[in-house]
Amino acid sequence: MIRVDLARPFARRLIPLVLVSSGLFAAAVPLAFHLEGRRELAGGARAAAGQVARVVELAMSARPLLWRYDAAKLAEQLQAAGLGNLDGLEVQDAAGHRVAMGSLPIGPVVWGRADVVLEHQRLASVWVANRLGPLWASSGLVALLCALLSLVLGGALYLYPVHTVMRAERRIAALLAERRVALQEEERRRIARELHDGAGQAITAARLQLLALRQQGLAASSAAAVERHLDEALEEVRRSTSALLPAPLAELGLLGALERHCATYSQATGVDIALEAPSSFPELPAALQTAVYRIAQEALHNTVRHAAASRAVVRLQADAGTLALEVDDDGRGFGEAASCQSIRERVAGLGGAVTWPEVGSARLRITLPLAGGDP
Amino acid sequence: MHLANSPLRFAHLLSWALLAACAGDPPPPAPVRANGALAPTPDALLAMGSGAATPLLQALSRAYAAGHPSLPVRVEPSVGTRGGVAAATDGAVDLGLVGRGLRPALELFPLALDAVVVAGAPDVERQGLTRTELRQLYAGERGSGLTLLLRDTEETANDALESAYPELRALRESGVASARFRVLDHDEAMAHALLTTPGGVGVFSFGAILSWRLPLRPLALDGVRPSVDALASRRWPAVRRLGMVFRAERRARIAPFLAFVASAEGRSATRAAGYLPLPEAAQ
Repeated sequence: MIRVDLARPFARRLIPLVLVSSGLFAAAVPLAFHLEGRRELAGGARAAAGQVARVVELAMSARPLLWRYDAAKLAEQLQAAGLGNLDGLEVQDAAGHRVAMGSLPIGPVVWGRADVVLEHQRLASVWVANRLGPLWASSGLVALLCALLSLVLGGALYLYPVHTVMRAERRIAALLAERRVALQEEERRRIARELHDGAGQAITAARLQLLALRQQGLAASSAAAVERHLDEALEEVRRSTSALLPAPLAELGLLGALERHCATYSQATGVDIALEAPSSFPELPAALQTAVYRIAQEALHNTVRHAAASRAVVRLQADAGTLALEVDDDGRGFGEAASCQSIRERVAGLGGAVTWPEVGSARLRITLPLAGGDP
Repeated sequence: MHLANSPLRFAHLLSWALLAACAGDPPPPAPVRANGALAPTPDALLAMGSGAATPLLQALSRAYAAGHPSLPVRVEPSVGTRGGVAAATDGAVDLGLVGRGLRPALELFPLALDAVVVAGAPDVERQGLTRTELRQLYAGERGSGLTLLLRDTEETANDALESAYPELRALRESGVASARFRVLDHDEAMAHALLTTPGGVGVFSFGAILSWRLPLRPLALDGVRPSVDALASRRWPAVRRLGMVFRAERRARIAPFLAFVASAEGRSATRAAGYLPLPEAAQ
């Protein structure tokens, strides 16, 4: 199987990007929420301080010195102004003396300040506090939600592209393997054709010439020896070309070649072998035809050698995207251990899948993608 | 260091700028402690504090002014006993008017006894209440045709009435907590509420009713009608002691007024205002 190593380096480069973007999201949103909340609290505190300052201003106008001792009346006025439940209130006169009007806050707060001004003179200052506790609580909740969301987003940002690249990686590997097998088969065909058309024809012509010479009176013994040598050379060329390209395939096509092999192998081994295939079969690429033929040969060999079967069936089916080859027998099965390495390599090279027969079962099933299909 | 050459420093400054923009105003500085008393008002003696004592001081100041035109007594609107003590402590006023036994670091001049009464609005025809009726009123039971008005928890009249009728305290507190009753924060506010609430009744100062000539009806309690004589004979059950506090260094300044209050003329004015002069005040 050809390895195309795209996904791992892609994933390695993607991880920092995903971590940074998820981290930024998880940090930036709660931070923005908190800062906006603080801004609102500070604005509210300033507005409340302004309202308190106006109440104080009225009291100071009426009683410039003694207003500060009438806390009850001022509290009543603040209550009426809707300022009865301030988180914290501090009033200091111009000299910095505290005026007992409210209580200092407990815990973290944000302050708002307003001055009490009469006749262009600052006579007192008012600070109003808003507690940060509730904002911290809601910010924490937002941070938790954003952390969870960033995990989900980060996962999606990482997994989706990596998964896509992995699919592309598998597709590229399958296409490369298919292309390699096709190139190999093409090369074998070319060599076989060269041998057959070149050396084979020349030897045949030489043999015919020798036959004619012998008939014309050449010493029969000498001619016979040369003829024998040429016959041996011709047989050697035939064996070589047959090894490169199954001759039956070239002559009969896939179904005819399989039919002939089943018949001759059945006769040679005594096992009853049948071929089941649809009458009309799609035209397959040469590489695929060769692979199916060789796989069927190897599977039948394993059946005879390991399964102790008396009957075997070779089934061939094809649909829009897949070619299925099954070799079934009535023997005891042989499992993956006894199978041939070449079957595994051929199937893997074409991006197919093998279901090996279990011990006790005798069905070997191979599926191969037809050209253009997605493995 | 240039900002462009220091991204971390830039991020640091940016963070601080963001936080500063949202941090609100700086907190208030530590307050300055008062350094000594305020200077006294040169043209008058200032008195301020308990709302129960305010009408009495107004009456006394009027009587005092006739014979002492050089340094009259000016009575400020009431700010409660606590406010009066604070003002006297700061020296903002010469006399702090108190309606309960606070023990500040000031000198105390016992002034008078005030009868705490349940006052009725002008339309209330009832002459008096029994203890049971008072309890039912505080419990919020309907049927009497009266509407109870309460004073705030700081008010000394509550303490006086509830020391005579202890069962009223829990009823009042639960009534305030459940917002069953209207609560007033000042004697002036209570007087106004009583005058404008049909069937309204509430704790009030007997002396204030007389001094201010309010058209309110002080109700009898368990058959005893409120009066200075009832105070003197100790038949009136709800009583509070009124006094004046002042800084020791002001004693010389206020001594003529204290002498007047303790004099027969002052005691007479006190009685006329509806209060019972305390025997200690005569010493």
